[in-house]
Amino acid sequence: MNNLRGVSENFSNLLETIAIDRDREAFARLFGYFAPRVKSYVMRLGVDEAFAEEVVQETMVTVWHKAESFDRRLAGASTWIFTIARNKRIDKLRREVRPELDPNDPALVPNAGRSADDAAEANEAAERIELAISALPVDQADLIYRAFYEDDTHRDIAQETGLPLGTVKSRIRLALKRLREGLEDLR
Amino acid sequence: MQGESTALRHHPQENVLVEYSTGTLHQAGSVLIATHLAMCPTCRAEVETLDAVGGALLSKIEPAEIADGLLDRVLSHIDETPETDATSAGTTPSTQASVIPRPLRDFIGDDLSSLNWVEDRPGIDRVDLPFGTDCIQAALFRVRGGGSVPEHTHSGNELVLILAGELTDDDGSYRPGDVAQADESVTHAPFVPCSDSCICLAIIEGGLDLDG
Ligand SMILES: [Zn+2]
Repeated sequence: MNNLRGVSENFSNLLETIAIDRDREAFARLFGYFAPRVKSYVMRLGVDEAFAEEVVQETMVTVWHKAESFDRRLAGASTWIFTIARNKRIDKLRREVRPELDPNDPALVPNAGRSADDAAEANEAAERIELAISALPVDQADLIYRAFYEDDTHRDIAQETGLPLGTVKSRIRLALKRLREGLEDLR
Repeated sequence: MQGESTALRHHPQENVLVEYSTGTLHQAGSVLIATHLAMCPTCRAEVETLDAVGGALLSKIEPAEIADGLLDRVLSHIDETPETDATSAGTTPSTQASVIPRPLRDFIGDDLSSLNWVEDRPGIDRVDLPFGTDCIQAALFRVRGGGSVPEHTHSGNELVLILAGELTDDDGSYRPGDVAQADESVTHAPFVPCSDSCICLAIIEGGLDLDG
């Protein structure tokens, strides 16, 4: 088993190198890992290859331009790139802009008692979640996967699996509870 | 709102947060959820975890083949296009006193009273919002103090976010930032328990049956 922590830290380092030095070498390495995965993610959601590669392209261009807004205390590198790809896909598919939180919004009610000082937090959390996903029972992992990577609403999943909607909801809830418990071990 | 230390009491159900995080939720629902998230650190932390699940799955996915030359194409684009920052483009600046979070403020501005209210029915005014669709009604409602919404059933999910005032139904009392959620199984007749009007954002799938 490879060292997950090292991998995730590496991606954060690459993003910071891109932000500071505008380093194309670092960008190419990040591209090499994430472009095939983002493409696979987008294709699973039911679009053709050309569309998926356009999303990859727009995602990676945005990664380059926004690298300096990446903050490893707030999100792991994979999570940060995932949210960019998700938003690009929605913007492109529906021709609408996904409403996003603005961290500088004066109307934002701040988090009480959570400091962003713990630099390891988001990266470690990301790794915990990966481990916790690997440890999920197959039926729960499958539902999580469908919910995230197959563009299915809970209703869709219920219809396709023949499970009652309530069962789908409760299994997903259970799976997420386990993932969260995996996270809480660390706090 | 910020001054009060009391946490919100009514949150969206987890499956709605999952659909928001994955991007399955329609735009109207996403505007409502993003607005709630700005007001609710609890759900915001929850969505951060969900986003991290999406990110973690990226490392588990079977990678696809990437066309030769895609990297070069991307590299040529990073030279050409100094990207306009989507998060600062089209911003509606907020006045200091604003309590309407940005995801909604971008659509309606800062001042609820200056909107183009039309009478929906006696005692209830309405402003239709541009992110509604044929199947999803998206509107602000203003129910006058002491007034009520006629008893109704639902033919789909209904999400209501309180922006000002207070609304009460069998499940309790909803204050600014709270989300009331109803579906086919719910029949209710929410009312405003005090003399101030209640203003809320409502996202209604499939419409209400007000005579039901
Ligand atoms: Zn909440």
